[in-house]
Amino acid sequence: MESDLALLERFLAGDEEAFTEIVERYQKKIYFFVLRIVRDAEDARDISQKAFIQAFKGASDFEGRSSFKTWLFKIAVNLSRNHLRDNQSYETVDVHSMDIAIPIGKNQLDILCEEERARLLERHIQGLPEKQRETLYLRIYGDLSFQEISEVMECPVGTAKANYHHAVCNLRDKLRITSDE
Amino acid sequence: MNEVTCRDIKDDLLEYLEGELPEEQRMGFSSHVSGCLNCRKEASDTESVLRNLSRYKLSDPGDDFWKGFQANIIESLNREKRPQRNILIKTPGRWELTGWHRRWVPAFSMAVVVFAIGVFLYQWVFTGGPVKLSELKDREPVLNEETLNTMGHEVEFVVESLEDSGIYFELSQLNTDEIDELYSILQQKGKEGFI
Repeated sequence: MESDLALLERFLAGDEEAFTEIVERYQKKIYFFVLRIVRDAEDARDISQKAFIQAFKGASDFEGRSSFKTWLFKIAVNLSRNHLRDNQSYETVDVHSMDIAIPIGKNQLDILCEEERARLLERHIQGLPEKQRETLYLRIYGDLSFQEISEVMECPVGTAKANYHHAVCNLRDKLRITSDE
Repeated sequence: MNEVTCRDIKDDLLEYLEGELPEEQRMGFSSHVSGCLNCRKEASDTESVLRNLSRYKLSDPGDDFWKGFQANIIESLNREKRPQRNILIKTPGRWELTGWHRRWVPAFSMAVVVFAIGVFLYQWVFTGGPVKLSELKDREPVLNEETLNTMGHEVEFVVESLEDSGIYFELSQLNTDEIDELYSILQQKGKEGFI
């Protein structure tokens, strides 16, 4: 597979196929990551498109100190944070507004239970501190290593690991309390 | 190898569950977890959280969505590449033409140039082109250099007379016929006492 840097160089030389390839490589990861953060499909589409546009506009200045992937995620994180801050919608999100894909081959009751569990989990995730929530999403849904997360979040690798650890343990404890109720 | 404690499990449980611990350390963890009720419970609950997190994917919006997604990015990038109309207000330089001058001064200048070229071409085509003064010098005895240098206003008078009769020329631009005519006129005028 051609490296991101090679694709970027081809894009800068005017190769449209390279552009399509690099967008296809990351569009789903970025879009779903942003969607989980901002929790609105239309806003997520606009923000993730903007992240790609900013990344491509700055491609000529990209020095390759980090990977294109972490650079793109970093832009997406910042745009998502700005969006939440500007709209102040975080406190009033509707956890039912996201369309969660349930594994197929289940009966109706199982599907309902799965949906409920998924929404409960999402609600608990939304209750996590911002850094823990973002780190969790980057790790689980962005498939980023701790090194990459530390670059995106601009923190030491140890902090990225600790945030992830706290996020998972917090979720585990909250789910235990819920199941005990 | 040191024995794995509950504290070790608490600190590195996620690395253990995600398979990121070195092999020898992993074996120690497995051994401890299987023998410790609390740690087994911790590991089981944490594993359940990780499994559920990975399981609940968001629905894919479909191919049309992704085609539109890419098209919007391309369109936005292309829009920004296009040159923008220059909306800066420029202060005119000292010699820069503004207002109606911008239109009429160049037009007038062009008309003058065209007229001058027309006059030049007319003389060239209809008078056979200029003749150098040196050719006049050979018209002995009347039009030698000394004579021409001493003619003064009389020559101008002859030239004006020629212009009155429709022959327009500069002294340095005479054709052969005009030289002949001028020659005879000068001879005539010489007889009359002008030269």
